[in-house]
Amino acid sequence: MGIIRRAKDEFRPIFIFLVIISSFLILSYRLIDLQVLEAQEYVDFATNQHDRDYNLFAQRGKIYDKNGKELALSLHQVTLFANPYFVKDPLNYAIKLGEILNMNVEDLKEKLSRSNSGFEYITRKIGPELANRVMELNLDGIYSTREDKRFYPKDSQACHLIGFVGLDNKGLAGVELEYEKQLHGTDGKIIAKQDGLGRIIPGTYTLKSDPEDGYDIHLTIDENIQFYTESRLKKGIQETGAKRGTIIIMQPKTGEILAMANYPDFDLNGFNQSNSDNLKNLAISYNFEPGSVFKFVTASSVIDSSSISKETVFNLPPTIKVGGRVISEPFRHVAKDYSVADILIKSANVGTVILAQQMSDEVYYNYLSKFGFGQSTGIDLPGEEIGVFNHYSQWSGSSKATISFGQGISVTPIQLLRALSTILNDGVAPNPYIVKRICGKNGDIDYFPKPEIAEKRVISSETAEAIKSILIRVVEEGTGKNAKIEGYKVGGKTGTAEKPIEGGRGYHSDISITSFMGFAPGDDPTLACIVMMDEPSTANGRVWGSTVAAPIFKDVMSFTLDYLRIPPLTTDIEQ
Amino acid sequence: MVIDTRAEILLRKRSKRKKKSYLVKQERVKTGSSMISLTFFITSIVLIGLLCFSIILLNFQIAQNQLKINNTRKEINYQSEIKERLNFRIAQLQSPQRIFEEAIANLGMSNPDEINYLNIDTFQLVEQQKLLEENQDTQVGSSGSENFFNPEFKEDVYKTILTLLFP
Repeated sequence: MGIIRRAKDEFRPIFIFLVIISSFLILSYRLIDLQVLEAQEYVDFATNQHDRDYNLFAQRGKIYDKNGKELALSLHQVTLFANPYFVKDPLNYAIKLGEILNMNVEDLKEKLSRSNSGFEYITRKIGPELANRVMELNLDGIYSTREDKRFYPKDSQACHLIGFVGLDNKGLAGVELEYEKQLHGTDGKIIAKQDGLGRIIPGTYTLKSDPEDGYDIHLTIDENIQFYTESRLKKGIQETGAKRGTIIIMQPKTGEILAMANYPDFDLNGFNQSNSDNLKNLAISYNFEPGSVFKFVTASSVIDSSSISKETVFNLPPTIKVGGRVISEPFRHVAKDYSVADILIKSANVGTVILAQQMSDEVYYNYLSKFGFGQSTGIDLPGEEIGVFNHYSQWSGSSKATISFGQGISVTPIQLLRALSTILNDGVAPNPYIVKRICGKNGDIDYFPKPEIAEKRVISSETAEAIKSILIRVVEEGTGKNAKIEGYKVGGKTGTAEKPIEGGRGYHSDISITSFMGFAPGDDPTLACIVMMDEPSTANGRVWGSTVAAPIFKDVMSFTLDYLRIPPLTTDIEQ
Repeated sequence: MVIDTRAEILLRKRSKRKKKSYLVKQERVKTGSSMISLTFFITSIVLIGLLCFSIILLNFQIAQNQLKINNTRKEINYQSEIKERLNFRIAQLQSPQRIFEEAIANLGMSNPDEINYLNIDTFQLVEQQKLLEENQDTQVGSSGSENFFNPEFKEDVYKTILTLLFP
């Protein structure tokens, strides 16, 4: 017994020591677990419970035209929201709110009755006056916060170009989308502590980051030229009953777009009520077979690639059979000698086919590629189409022949205008662009986002000069007479293309796309313009590029020359 | 041993008493320096109090200034908002579309293609009118006042003018 008792007495302190040590170890582990291993989780949990984040919204940058006229700006609006948990009498609240906000009482009541929700929007982005009337009611659980709303003071002007933003102030189309990053800026953040009931504890605000307002964007378009162009296009479409139309005015040597008009248009302040088809920027996204307006590209390619000059004469039959397809001239029934210049002036289909036959498929394809067909022009707008332009290995027996006069190839208006501008820019393709300059509110940032793609030479300057002189003759003595502007030498090319049958083979005989593409003043053009009208019709039935599109070109170009005070050149006056 | 021990205890007690009395005496001796300490202590308290008060006052002043700054900021924001709204209104009013419509509706503006310019040969007009008057005189023969009030005569003149204007 004595031995056992002694052993017990000796073991007791060891046991107590072990218990203390193990308790200490367990506590230490738990402490390490809390403080180190799962520390972040608990910190996050506590932060979520105690802190409430508030966004300090950065003000979205403005959009101006080239003369500093506002086209898009943001104004502070108020958003009303509720925490239904604190709403005591949903029906009474709904009646009061519905009366002021002109909203459906049942909908409001349903929202305010969701007591488990914690957050419900009542209405977003309303005027401060209206919001003040609601806040003066001092209703429990009804709160307000400030949000920016985008406004477009010119309503539908340049709508396809400017684009629009969604409810979250993020760009959805046009410049608003393309330059979202620069326009949006960076939101700031404030953190405040809240008590157990979710009420903010006064004086616990901590500024985490200041908001950085978005940059302002200055476009290359001129508000007045844009307005006139849009008005003239609208008038033309109403007169001819065309389905749609587009006009682009560009400075051919710089690629600067002065106006880009599309019809049908839509109101930027209510874009969501518009038909989605109307939202498309046809100038960069409408693929169409260009027809005769394309012939100058074929002529440029053949002159540049061979020894053929603009004076070279070809004997043209009235019809020609290529790859099992007969191509004929609409107004000529006898064989005739035409120079290359005459082929363009008289817009001869057979002549253009013969010109294309002077080149191999590969050479012709390469020239068309160099002119930019089948590729994006790189314009700083979203949604640009590249057209339909197959590789020459996929061409049928008649493809080269039909492409030569603008059938069997789809292009966009901006691609065509760029091709013309290549001729006017001494054979070098300019890069079209729409944003002239981006600048910060304090003038701290100021840069010019001109496209970085290097301008490339497409044809020699001699070829460009030759084609330019032919195009001037097209207006003086050929199909483009209706585009003549008194006092100025004008160049251009008409186009009337039959529309292909959708989902079938062949072309409609009575539906066409008419176009005119031209430039002024004469030998040193500062303006290039394209007019495209889809499915026009006139009372006398004569639907041609020369009768529908050329007069519109004349009016628009005449206005722009006057407005920009571009005088006629000496060569124009001599003429 | 026991007696000795008691004697020792007594001695110790006495010595303790002595020590105590000595301590009391010592305190009495140093009364002057304790007054200085007390004064120093009170002064320090007062100074610290003043310091605290001035800090509170300063904070109060800072809070007041902060409030003013906040109010001014609010006012700036409010005025900026008003300015932005006015800018928007100006931009709306400067819209070419609005100006165009206003000019046509209220200021009598016309598009150049809507105006027809007529070149009237006034000499020919006067000659024609004279001829007409002569013809009328010979036909009616009576007083000129009758011709003037004759509606048929006026109608003829108008017709002639209209044919000249719109041949």
